[in-house]
Amino acid sequence: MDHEISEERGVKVMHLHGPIDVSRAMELRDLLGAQIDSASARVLVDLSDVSLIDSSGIGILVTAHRRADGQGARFGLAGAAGTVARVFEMTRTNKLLSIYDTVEEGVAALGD
Amino acid sequence: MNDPPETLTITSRAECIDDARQWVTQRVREAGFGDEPAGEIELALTEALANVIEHAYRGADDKRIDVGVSLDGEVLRVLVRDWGAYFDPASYRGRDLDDPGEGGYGVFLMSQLMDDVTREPQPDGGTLLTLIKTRTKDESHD
Repeated sequence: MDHEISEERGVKVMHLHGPIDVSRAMELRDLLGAQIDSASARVLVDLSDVSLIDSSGIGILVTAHRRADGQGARFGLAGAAGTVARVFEMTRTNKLLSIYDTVEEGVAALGD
Repeated sequence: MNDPPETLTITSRAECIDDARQWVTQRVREAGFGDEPAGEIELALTEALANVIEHAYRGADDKRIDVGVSLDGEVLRVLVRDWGAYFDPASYRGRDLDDPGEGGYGVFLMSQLMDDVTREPQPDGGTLLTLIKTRTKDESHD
């Protein structure tokens, strides 16, 4: 999965690129699992360069959210646009997940 | 666009979904569809192929899938043909949207993203799934 990780104000920002489908879902699960590793973890996934997310990708993000929640960590998504944003609405996962319009907003919300 | 539909054959591996997506998207764009419907078709196709691999072929990674595209007037059809187990929509229970989790969204998303989705069992086995999207006047480049 093409990605970079930066750190802003104590928040690890995972910038993902390209489509997220079933061929990349397991890799995404591992990437997120490695970052959401303690109660102090603050992880924001930047979706602004993600062209597509399918149901397997949505499921991985829901699991990551629950894992973070269970550990007392914080997890959010930012930058979703177009069909990517609409998929969260269609599946109503936008009501569960913490979704921010921009990385800046997400960092401000998740950061210390 | 030609009739009968242009066809691409892929193998039932998740890594091949991207090839099919790019091939279909090129034809969808050539047919004059804009960003939003093209994105919807891409996602519906992705879900359809993932379902074929997981359910029709039960994860076998050496099976044949044919993907076709046809345009009839304003109506675009994306055809997904497999030779695996038939999927019976009547016996399917999708994800309860009030209980988010992993899996169970694919059929729901296809129906939401497309104008219509049909499934026809084939005489020699398998299924022909058709994803249907009608081009709006704003999208037509004619």
